[in-house]
Amino acid sequence: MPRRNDLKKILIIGSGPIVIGQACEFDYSGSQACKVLKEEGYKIVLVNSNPATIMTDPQMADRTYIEPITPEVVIEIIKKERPDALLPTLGGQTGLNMAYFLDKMGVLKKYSVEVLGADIAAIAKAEDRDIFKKTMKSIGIKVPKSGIARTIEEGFKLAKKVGFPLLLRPAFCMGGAGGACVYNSEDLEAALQGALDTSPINEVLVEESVLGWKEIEFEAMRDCKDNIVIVCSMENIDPMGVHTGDSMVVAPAQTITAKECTKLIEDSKKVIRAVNITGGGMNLQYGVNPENGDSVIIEINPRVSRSSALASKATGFPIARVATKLAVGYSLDEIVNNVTGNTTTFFEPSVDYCVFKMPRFTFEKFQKADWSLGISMKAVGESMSIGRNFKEALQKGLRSLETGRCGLGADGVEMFDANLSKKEKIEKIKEKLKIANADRIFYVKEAFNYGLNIDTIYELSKITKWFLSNIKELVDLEKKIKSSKGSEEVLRRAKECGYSDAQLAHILKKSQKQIRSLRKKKIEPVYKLVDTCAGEFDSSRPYFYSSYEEKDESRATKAKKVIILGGGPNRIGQGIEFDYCCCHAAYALKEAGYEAVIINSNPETVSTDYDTSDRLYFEPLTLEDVLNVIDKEKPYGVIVQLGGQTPLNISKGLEAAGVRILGTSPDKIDIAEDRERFKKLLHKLKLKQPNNGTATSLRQAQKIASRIGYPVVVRPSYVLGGRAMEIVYDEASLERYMREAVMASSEHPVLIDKFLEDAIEVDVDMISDGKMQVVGGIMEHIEEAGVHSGDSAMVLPPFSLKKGLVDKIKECTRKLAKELKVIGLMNVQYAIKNNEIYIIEVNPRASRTIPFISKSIGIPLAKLATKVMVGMSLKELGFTKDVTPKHISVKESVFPFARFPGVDIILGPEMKSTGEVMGIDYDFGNAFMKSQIAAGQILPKKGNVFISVKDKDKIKIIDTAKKLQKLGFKLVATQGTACSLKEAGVKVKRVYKLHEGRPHVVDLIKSDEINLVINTPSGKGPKEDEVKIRTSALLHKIPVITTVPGAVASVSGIEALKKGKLKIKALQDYNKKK
Amino acid sequence: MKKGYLVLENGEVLEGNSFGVKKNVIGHVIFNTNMLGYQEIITDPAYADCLVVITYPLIGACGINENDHNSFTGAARGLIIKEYSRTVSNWQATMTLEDFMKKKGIVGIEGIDTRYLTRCVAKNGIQKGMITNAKNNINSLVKKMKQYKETKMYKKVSSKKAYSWNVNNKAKKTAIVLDYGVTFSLLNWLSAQGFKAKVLPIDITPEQVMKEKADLIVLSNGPGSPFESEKEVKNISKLLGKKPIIGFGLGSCFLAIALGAKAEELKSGHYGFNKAVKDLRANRVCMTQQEHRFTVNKDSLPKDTEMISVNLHDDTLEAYENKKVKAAGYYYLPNTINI
Repeated sequence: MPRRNDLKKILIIGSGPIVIGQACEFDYSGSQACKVLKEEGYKIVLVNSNPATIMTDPQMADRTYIEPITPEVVIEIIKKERPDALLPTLGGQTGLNMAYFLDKMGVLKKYSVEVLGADIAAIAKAEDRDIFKKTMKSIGIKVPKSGIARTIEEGFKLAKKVGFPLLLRPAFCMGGAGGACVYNSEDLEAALQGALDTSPINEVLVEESVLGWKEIEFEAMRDCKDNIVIVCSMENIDPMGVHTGDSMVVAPAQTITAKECTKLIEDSKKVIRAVNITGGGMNLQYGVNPENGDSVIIEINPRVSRSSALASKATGFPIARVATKLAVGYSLDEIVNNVTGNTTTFFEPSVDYCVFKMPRFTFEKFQKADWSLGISMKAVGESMSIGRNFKEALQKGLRSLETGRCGLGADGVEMFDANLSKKEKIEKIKEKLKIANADRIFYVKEAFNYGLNIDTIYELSKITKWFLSNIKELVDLEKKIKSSKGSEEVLRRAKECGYSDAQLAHILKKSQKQIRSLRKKKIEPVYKLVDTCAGEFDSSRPYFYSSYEEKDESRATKAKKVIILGGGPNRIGQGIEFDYCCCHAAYALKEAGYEAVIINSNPETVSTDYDTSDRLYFEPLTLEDVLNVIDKEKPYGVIVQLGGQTPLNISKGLEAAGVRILGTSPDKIDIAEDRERFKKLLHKLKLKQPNNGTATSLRQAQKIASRIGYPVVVRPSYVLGGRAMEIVYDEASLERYMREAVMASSEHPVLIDKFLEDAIEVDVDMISDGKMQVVGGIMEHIEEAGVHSGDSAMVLPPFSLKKGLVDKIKECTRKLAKELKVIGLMNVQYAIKNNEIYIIEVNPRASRTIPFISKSIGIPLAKLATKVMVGMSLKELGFTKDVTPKHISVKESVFPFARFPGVDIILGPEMKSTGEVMGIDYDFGNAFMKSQIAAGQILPKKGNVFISVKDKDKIKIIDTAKKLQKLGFKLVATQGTACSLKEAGVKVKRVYKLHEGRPHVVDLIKSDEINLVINTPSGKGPKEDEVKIRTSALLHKIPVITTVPGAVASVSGIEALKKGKLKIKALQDYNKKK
Repeated sequence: MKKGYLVLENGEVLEGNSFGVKKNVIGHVIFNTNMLGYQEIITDPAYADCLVVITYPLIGACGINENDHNSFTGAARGLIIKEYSRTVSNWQATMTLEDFMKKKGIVGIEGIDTRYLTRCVAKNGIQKGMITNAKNNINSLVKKMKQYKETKMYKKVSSKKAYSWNVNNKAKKTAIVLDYGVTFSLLNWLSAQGFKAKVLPIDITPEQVMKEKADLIVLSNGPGSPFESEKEVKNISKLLGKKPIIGFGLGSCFLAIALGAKAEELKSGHYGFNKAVKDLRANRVCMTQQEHRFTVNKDSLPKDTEMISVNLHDDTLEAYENKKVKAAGYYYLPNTINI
């Protein structure tokens, strides 16, 4: 059937902020959906609260609402826009759930909005565990023994039936949120409670666990004519029990026979028919018993997913694009596969390479979290790598992760404390193999090194032996490399098995450069094509990966071209914002008449979509891998300033190799990064910075700290996202920090700054063409200086700074840009204390806030910056004046604390947020309120507010308390705060602290008698009491505010909320050209 | 590891390592796009004159098991892969791929840039190749290849004795299968369609076939070319109109020739799980597994023979039917037949 002409306007629901389990893959799918619908001539209405997405670029949809994705807001949008249909399957679980709840509320019927792709019944069959189970039974597909619990009691009854260990899976959740594996009845109650609380409909599946089984996944698509294609099979390296998002995965499946695979595919076809997907994709997960091939179906997702993004990038088959086409009426055989250009999408991809996906974790930021992997997802990103064998893909994937590894070991990273005996080391290995963790694959290697055999390793890890034997091959090869002293034959074999020059240098005790020149002209990579068809047909899409083989297929042209280096896997500190910038660079280059070549290793991104660049290289972003592509492509220049820290890390190396770096020079970038050089610069410009010093030893650090006075901010040099950054209040903490931090990065010194307490922090993003500097936006932080800029809420334009000060800030920024000869983007962070401007940090590169500002002011800064970098002037581009929008935009951060039980939720100099949302309105209160709602911080309109603040804040909080009282809230406080409030004439009820007797504050939280918590942490490290209060509030989904400015802002938000309903407005209307 | 070479008819030499049996063999270099199921491929008699390139680079992880053989007799002549996995990781496996190859006399070469080789075949068409351990004097090897000729390969793989195949107790109807290289897939498919199958060697005469009680005559797929097979075609002609006949692969070519059409060689063959065909009558598409090098020229079909389906990609004929004599030919196993 062809395109449906009865539909005119279609609503797409995005997935909101980046959180664990729902990341930028939904920007990738959503953007594809927008492109397709536009191509097909539909009017698109889009709602997504995440400004860092390509899909919310104003030209992607006809009406773009950067508003909270809540039923109330979406209903308003439906009322206003009256779409004919809703496409819920592209926006992750958020989109799907929203469609489901809107239907349950009768909204869709009332406004006659049709659900495309998967109807509500289909969603229920997949998401409602009970209906899912019944559906599977009706078509004869085995599911693990299970039952639905709605209460703790029901849970215990089911546990008896199912037996331990068992799994808890909350309904309507993604990324295994709230899920748990429970080994005994003792732990059951708490786990059940957690799971029930997480499920939006308070339902939990209590399920027999199939721990240790193999996990196999499929991506299937079905059209309205009942045609089905299986796009890809995937095999998890980690066994069942580890969430698939946390698992290492290979595609296609490696260790099941064709018959076993066919059986699962036949099952999958039955399932997709029974669920009745009439135009879209589905992800299916199976557990397979490695002893006898028995299989059970674990889970299905009737939508595009993280796995479908991976499958798309792994095969070249654009699932989201096709899903959208199917949703509007096309059948698979009517759609041209844009990757080959000459086949239809009624085609099952065959690949001729091995794809490896490696999850990226950031446990180091959550020291108190449980670092083991289970059924609740903890990874924040992933890398994908492609090789002609598993070993090559594995090593490329590991060095893509940017965790300081160059492959599977052989890079000087020690897995053990130096003082462990051999026996202790083996014990540690065994433990690490048994309990899944982020480094498990490295321990498999160590296990072989320490003489464990394949059977033992299998018994401990349940990792299929085929993968283990491949690692064994690497272990053996490493020995051979060493003994061969680098013979050409062995080096070639090493490169075929994915060894990086850095590893070979380490093994052979040579420099990386030496290895490179040793193999140059003899052993060089070739580039192979990802073409969906294993070479059977000609393919028009130039999407490549490297391998060490015979024949090169690269299609480097003679055209003028620029290589854009992407940001690699998402992690805290470097996320979708940088990918957004890279995409814009590609668009801009094409507009400017250049070919855009992208190198990246992150499968979730828009930048690795097949039509973003002219040529795509799916490669690790290391100096070696990038130089290899450069040798092949011979670009005019390389853009390093848009992909975050990743490309910057190699920019000096690139320059040394003779590569032209476009925009600001690496040397100038280095000035900004190098403390001493930077200090000189500021001195020259007569600009202030907090007193500071650089230490390479504890003694030096102590000296500096006592000179400038505590508290001080300490951090290692060259980091992003405030990694290992701390505010230190006394010498003892400094000593502890220096021991850990200097251990963490022995080559790099530690930076020590005076911490400016209670200063206002400001972020400025600016663009310069070398002659002219234009400020894109000045953002005032809501939280005071000391909270990482990636974590604090920001307001554009500033809300409390006087004009004179703002002008001064602009002047400083221009001065810096001129001195650093910035060409492109620059971000400066300032602290304002007593009307003095201090420079905290200068980053001559794209910052995290570029997409936010671009959305707010309606000007694509990254695009302009790219054009400037290839020589255009700002005058030519028509961007010559600083912009101050009339509306107010608030950026709020979103945190993964719920995924890490026990971790304190206070904010500090180390960044912890995974994503961001944007609230826009014409007054601060409403804009802030929208940002809070969008971030999931549901501020109450009435009820009880618990206040407990540190001594320093006791005076500052009084105004807020008074306002709350005026707004009709009842106040509750512990003794200290209660006293000071009473003295100020605020009515407040005193409540016990934890040790003072019961019922204490946590009891009140548990019994839902508190609706809002305001709790600022006392300076020197959190007290146990406070942590308990905050974590139990988090568990009970009670909003917690941990700073006074945050409280002030929230109160204005509540005020606005009480005055009237939130109003919605499309982005296109905010920045209308007059 | 011993060095091995793949010498192509055009003189090109690809270097790799030998595995399986080490001897010189000549065959048609064809590629198969299956990512799993190498066991089914190398035990399919259709590959008996082929050096099979498997486009998926990692082969051997599942070993060989007792359940997944695709025939009693057949084995590919040679196997060309990127990397042989020496560790077996599947519960059903009873031996390694290499041991099986040695048992069956299959010559193997690994470490070949199979993607490059596949692109060559896809672009330039199928040519002969030789797997060898010595590459001195390429010219003479090429000459040898050019002169190399074999006919009626199917005779070598056809069963010597008749046998029955019935895995479906409810099967009511009987099919006679002429064995040009029958696969278990075909026999199991017949069972699923409700047929008990009786497999007969191909030296059987049409008269003998007619004596058999049967509702359907099946001409199986097999290796080799449909040309120079007058005898087979003549025999089939004699059966036309007497009983419903359905041919598969090579059998389908024979049938088409008997019906008056012309067979032709495909440029690079259709081998693999992902071959999409368009059913012209039902206006539907379906995904099929195929293994054939020859097809029937569409334009040569006689008037009374209609096309059932064509390949969605290259538009070549994939199935046809002559209703008058109740004969149909397929290059894949359709979901259902109605004959």
